[in-house]
Amino acid sequence: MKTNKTAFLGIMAALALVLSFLESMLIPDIPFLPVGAKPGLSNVVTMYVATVMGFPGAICITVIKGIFALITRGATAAFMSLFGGVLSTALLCLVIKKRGKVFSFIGIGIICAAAHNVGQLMAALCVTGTYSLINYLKYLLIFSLITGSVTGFMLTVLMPRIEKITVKQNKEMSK
Amino acid sequence: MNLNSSKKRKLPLLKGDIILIASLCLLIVILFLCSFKGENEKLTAEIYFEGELIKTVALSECTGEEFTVGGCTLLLEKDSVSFTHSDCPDKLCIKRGKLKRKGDTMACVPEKVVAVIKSENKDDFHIATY
Repeated sequence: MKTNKTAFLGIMAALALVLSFLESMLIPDIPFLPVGAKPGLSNVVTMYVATVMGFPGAICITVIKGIFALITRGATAAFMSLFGGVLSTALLCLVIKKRGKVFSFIGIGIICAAAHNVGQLMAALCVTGTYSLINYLKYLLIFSLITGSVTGFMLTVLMPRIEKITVKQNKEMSK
Repeated sequence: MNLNSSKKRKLPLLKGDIILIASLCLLIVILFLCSFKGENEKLTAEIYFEGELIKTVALSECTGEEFTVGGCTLLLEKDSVSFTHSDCPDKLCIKRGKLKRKGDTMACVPEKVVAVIKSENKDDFHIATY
């Protein structure tokens, strides 16, 4: 059973890394968008893992993403990725239990995206020590409203289809 | 069959989602209102390095000089500030382009350099009352 979980997490982590790499290639630098803001496609993976495995699995993905950022983009990027990731994962796992009752995937996606952006902004504040960066918050919030809805909607569409395939495995894993 | 599929396609928004989106929109509007208080003001650029303010310039008096701090070079032009060089790997600060309006902010996080546009509210008020 443990092997099963490890393999599943490995595949999901790889998927998250590929998605975050792809989106960094696909998104051109549109001038009025917040610089460095990305759609957060890999959040789809984190949200899926959180739904299926809960907090431990999701935090694994976040840490692996952080390590990947450390290798490819340096220490600052890793710190920002980890800070945003951990904050959004923590909130995500609090909220995911309310899925279907209070929030749908779209709401959860928005919370995730907003928490990720706020976390990264806080990390940037810590690194630079300049509080004026708060000015940036409004652009990031608008952006996370959009990207969160997109990732949430993707998961709403994907989830029934994934569940069809993996219902058996999920049952085994949650044992 | 068609009816069935169109029924499925309805966005599955719940009460919490709508409250969340509404409150986020409200927050964004408030943040924007705060930064748009008073437009035609005298703008100054502040440049921070490692959290300390190291340079303040009035934007209307800039004439295109360059200013180097940390691993970054900034170009101070009339009414705008931009990053022209940085030692950081991703160069996001350069891609941001020119900072022009009040509240515009760009940080080169790896090099710990931040540029902010601010306005001198009170001075402007005095000038206006003269």
